[in-house]
Amino acid sequence: MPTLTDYALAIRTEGSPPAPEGVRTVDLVLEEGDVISSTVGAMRSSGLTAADFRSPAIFLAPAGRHGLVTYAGLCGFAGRRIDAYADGVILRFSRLHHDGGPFPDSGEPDEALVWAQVGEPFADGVRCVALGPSQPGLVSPEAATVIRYAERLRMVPPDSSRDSLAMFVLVAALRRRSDDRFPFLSTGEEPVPVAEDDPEQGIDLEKVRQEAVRYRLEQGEDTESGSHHDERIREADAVDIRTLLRRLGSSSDGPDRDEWRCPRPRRHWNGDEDSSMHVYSDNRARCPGCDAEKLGPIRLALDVLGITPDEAASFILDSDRVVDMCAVREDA
Amino acid sequence: MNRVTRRGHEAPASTEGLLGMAIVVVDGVDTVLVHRSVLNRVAEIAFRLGCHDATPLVRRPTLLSGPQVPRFRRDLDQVTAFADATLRTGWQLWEIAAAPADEPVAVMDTPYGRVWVDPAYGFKLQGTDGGPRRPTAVRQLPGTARRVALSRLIAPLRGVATRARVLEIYDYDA
Repeated sequence: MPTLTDYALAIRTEGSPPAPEGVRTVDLVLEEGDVISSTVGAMRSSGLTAADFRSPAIFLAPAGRHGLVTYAGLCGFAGRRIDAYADGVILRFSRLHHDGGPFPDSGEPDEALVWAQVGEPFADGVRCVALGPSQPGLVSPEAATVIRYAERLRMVPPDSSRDSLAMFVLVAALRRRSDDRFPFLSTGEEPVPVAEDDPEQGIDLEKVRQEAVRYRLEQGEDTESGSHHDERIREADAVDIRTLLRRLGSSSDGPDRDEWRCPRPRRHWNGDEDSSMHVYSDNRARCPGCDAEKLGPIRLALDVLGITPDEAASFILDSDRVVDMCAVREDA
Repeated sequence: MNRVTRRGHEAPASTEGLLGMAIVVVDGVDTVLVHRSVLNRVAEIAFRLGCHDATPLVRRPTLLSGPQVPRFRRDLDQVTAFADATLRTGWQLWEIAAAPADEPVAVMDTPYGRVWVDPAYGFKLQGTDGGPRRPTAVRQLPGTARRVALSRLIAPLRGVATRARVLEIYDYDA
């Protein structure tokens, strides 16, 4: 089991427990005023950088649920879930998959669900669902549908710091699509929402996340290491996507044809024998069955091989090996 | 890799103290020892690539025979290509090689303490006194620890699979 001394960086906020000796500590001192700008302002004045999160980092959560706002901001800034220490326990959220796809739901609702609530006490006038050990598989299919498809979600977490963080991470995973969609942090006693952008529904954790992402991007514009990394990604993205498709085992019907076999045949009932992937003139490609939008070489390699952007850049720029994803499917 | 006899799984002196190993039995006779972390990495990559004939490596004991063996060879080739192309690595010191994922793996018990392989820092000796140290004091482990390509660690398995008709893989601790 890991201990706090295994971490290189501990992040504290108001009311957090002390960090152990020998671990670098950053204190986020919240300022007066609006909670969202106060949280991001505390990150700015603390001097945190994206590079800090290359080493193992942990958030030391204060008692109760109010550490969630800071945690949401840190997740946005780090671009991933970070571990947390709450109620004397290390919660290894960084090892969890961001995507809650494996939780089954009961299907997309027939009518658009503008507002919903997860957590108790249930409120009148809002569709409410619960999570927890009493639910089959932690999340019932009905609850998963509401959490996943509600356009706006109020989350009423338990009082315990540990349970509230666990609930947040689970809800965030269920709501995640191509990007995160954090819920509102609510008490359950807010008035019935009257509009999509009703400001009375609690603290918009998604706005906290977006502000933190914006701050990270501002930092990235100034850092040399970021530009080197971006340069390599750009270089890989400029490689002819047809070359990448061949290295993934894909082929086209003819040398001048733009229709290619999708290199993710396992996602197609017939292994995509009818070549549904279209290559566009802007060096991007899209399979209508697999992709919501056109993908460049880096994102295609990421999705097909399940690797990180750095690995995708290495795959494209530093290697000529063929990983034949199409041959694998034919014999499976 | 150490060669040992399957019968009785008696460990020769060179395998004394080894931890976390798996034994690969080829056609009931020839065998090699591979650290289980290497097999686990192979199985993980194979699962990701949809190479289902290599994924049983993680469910030991396992037996591959008949048409499974050539498919296993082909899947190992795919895994090797992926490992090379994405620069996957493990660690090697003397004849011990391991490829830990996120957590250190134990590879050997010695009179000086237990030797672990950390994914980031390589080999370390955790004695009963003090913190972790480099295993330079361990007489059984001469040489210098090196980070090596994962495909090199898979190579012994590929080598024996080339001529196998039946492959059996068991967990093995000396």
